Amino acid sequence: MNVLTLANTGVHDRVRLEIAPNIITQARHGNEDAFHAIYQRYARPVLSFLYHHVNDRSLAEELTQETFVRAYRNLNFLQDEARLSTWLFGIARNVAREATRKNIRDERNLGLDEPESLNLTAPGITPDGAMLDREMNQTIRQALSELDEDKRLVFSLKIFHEKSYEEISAITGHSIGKLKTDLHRARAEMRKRLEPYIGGR
Amino acid sequence: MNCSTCQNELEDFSGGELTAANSAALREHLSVCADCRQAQALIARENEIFAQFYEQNAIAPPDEMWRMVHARIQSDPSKSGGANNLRNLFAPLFAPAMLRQFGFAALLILLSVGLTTLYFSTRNDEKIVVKNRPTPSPVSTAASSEPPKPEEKIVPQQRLPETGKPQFTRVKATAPKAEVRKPALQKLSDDELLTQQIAKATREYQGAIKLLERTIAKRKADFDEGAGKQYEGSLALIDASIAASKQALRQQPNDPSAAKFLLAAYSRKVELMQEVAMR
Repeated sequence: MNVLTLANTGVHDRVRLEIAPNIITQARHGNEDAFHAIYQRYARPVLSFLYHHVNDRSLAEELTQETFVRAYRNLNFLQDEARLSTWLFGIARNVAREATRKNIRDERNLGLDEPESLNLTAPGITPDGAMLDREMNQTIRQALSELDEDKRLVFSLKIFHEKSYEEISAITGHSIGKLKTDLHRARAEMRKRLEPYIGGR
Repeated sequence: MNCSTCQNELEDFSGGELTAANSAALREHLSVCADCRQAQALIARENEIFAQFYEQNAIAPPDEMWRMVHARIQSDPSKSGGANNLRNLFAPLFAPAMLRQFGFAALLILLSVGLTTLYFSTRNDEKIVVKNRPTPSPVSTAASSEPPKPEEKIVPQQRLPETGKPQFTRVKATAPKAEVRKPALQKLSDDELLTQQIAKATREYQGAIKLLERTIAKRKADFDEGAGKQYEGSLALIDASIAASKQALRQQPNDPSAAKFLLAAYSRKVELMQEVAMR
């Protein structure tokens, strides 16, 4: 099944794959293969987004699962098929916010010195092979977790997921003005933490 | 363009969010300003680091995750995806998260409705007790226009000192005091009680709905367009259900099913509003 179409829209020249509209239509009609195609395309970015948001892998996996179950139940509410990704991120954001409200994150939040937290880097990446060393990764992760929720959200969606302000506004419900301010402040905070690693300033 | 404007717009420029005209002006400024070029290079370097961080830390979903998702959507009552629009429309109302969020408001309402029911069932019990009291015989009922004659009893009073025999005296027994009952409660029929209960529960729900409406109105600006439309649509359906139940109840005021539907519709409305208010 040809489920994916290509669209090069990435800021970092990363290729963004979009789901063909007919797949969404099929999924709306209960075609589980079509929904599986949607899952395959978006599970990874949604999981990464949630992971950066809650800083706990197992919780992020639970929330991703919940996101896709809700997405399946509510596919009929998706008004613009071209905005499937934005819609999914919106659900993921709500799911994460509910989890945060229940203090799950606080209960499960692992300290960065704990062994599980240190094993979070993708398998196969060794210090020698990685362009960034382990210490910098930890610094970025720590700095991200210290951003307040709004700043972390806009930073993650804009920098990691390359969403436009309009898309982020649709996901978060915040005005574009607020998003720009939050992003500006988030970058300043992240920059402060990265300063030792970016020489020659 | 000055340096301050340029540096403020560098973020949007790097994200491709500037208009063509602004981009051109910014490029022109960059071509002549070394400081701004340095700021642009810094953003580019940071973005490169963040991109690498993202790639290195992106986690792949485990295989069992799809199996779990699949199992859950298989067991979902709205399994047919878009085939059953109406059922899907109400599916979120029964989602576990929604039910969990319903929590506090639902508890308050249930408590209130429960207490009301208890109150009226206690009143019913009082009515039954009153009904079960011994009723006067037809004879005494016939004579009830006269005050009831006190029953005469012969009781030993004291012994005569000279004979040692007890002296008997006729004394009037005290007539039992008439039971004071509130006329209003006596007149309540079962139907009236039911109507009162429905009215009370309806008031409770309407109170909760008003509170939630105020909360939602305050947060409405935060809603995205899709969620707002979804909410309005669901609310309209529930309101239609409430209106239909009210009409049925007006036509048959003693129909407990219509009352049940009305209260269930109110309950769903509170659930939905609670979800939106807490979102």
